[in-house]
Amino acid sequence: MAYLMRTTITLPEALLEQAKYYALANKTTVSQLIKEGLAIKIKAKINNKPKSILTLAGSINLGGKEPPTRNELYDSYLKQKIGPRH
Amino acid sequence: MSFMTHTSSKKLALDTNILVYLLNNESSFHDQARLAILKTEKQKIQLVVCQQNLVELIRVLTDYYQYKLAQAVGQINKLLETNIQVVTPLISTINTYLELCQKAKGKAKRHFDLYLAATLIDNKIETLITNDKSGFKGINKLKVACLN
Repeated sequence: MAYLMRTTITLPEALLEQAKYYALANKTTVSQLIKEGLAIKIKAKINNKPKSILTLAGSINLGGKEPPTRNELYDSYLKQKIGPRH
Repeated sequence: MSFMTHTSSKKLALDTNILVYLLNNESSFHDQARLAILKTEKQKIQLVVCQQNLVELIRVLTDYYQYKLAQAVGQINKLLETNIQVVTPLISTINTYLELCQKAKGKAKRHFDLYLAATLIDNKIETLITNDKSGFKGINKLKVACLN
């Protein structure tokens, strides 16, 4: 059996009231509800693998024009920002 | 493709031009880019881009392809939600860049390629896929592969 630890959490009053009613109606405890909720949330996060970059393949249409080289990309910007002014 | 058989690194970087080819379904390199990435994923190789690649991609999309800035930002956000890892320059990257500059003396006008290479080297990424190898010549610590 897993080692249990006591902790303190802060909840909105209304949510706590709802949780108590829910626990009473379902013959469980607020602690159990929180434990189950956290487990679901954490498991979902672990299983939520990011999608492949290939899902974006061909997602935009830019025509057949080649992208600029890195030099062209930065040169035009640098000339504009710090190049000689005419 | 040769880079798939010659590399043993577990991480592989994509240059900005490869990102453009991958996104652009009209590019003549689109199928090659898609196939290259498909192969790396099958080999469980982690794909990586540098932060500066993402800035460059926004500039390319907006300035060269007249894509709206909001749309370009949207594309980057979509990229960030995928399995691609984004690496950043480290404090040491300026020193690595300066070392590369010294070794590349006499070959001017490729500083931004050298800084990209320095960022990858500092993040222990051994291979870059690009379609413009010219700026990366003579960098021993980085393997550079082209699509074609």
